[in-house]
Amino acid sequence: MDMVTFLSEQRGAAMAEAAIVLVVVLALFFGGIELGMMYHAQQVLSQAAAEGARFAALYGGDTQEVRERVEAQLAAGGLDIEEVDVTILDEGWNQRVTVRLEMSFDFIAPLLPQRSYTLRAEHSARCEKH
Amino acid sequence: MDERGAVSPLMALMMLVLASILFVMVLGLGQLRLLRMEVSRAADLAVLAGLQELDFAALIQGDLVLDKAAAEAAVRSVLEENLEPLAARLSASPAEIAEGAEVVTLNVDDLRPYSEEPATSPEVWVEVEAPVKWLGEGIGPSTVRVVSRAVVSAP
Repeated sequence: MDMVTFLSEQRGAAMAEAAIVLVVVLALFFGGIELGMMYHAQQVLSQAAAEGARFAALYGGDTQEVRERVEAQLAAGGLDIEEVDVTILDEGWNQRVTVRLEMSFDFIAPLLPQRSYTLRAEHSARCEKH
Repeated sequence: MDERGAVSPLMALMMLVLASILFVMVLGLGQLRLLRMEVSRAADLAVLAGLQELDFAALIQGDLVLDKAAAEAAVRSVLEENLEPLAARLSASPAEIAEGAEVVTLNVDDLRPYSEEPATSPEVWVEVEAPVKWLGEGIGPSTVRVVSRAVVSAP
């Protein structure tokens, strides 16, 4: 088979195209799933922080109960409580009480750059507990 | 067997453009929705703080009466504190948004917004309009708007 004949062959073109298209489609697919999980994690963090701030306002600042409440919210949302940093700042009655949550989220979708992002959520309330 | 390119270049280009637009829309709308929920939580915590500002003189008499000025100040300050962590995603400063929020404080028999019905117990309402950065600096200006209300329930 000479060179001209070889280059004008069309067999296998479909397979080569399928391979290229598949890589793009799979990257979008896995990327979409991973992004959805990231949005979900952010959502759960924010909800847990708001719930924690309200609970801390009612029952006192940085106590075991408040931490447990926050952890219960995180666990209900399917996050690993070991991976979330919980900071509670309490300035006393009728002052600000803040719950700050931080976790690192590893973006591990195949075919895309792997890196880790820090997700944060923070909410504050007025402390109502004397 | 001749399969001269099952995927035509034009089709491939079109699909790529369409898929990218769809992806960007999904990303952006997801971001917007997330931000709206966080602003909504901020508003919820703010009205609850506002409702704490009761008039002590009336309370001693056994009446639940809001100290309206103090309640409004509490709403704005808690709102600002809660918007601060979101500042990077908002295109106005938290202080401006908290200042621009519409706060309504009601005592018994004051008329509620929208329905004009008299309130049966103290209530605090807030309407927050937060201009947001959409997809980084944004395709166009967008605003997140939430309304939140807290009511004293009779013991």
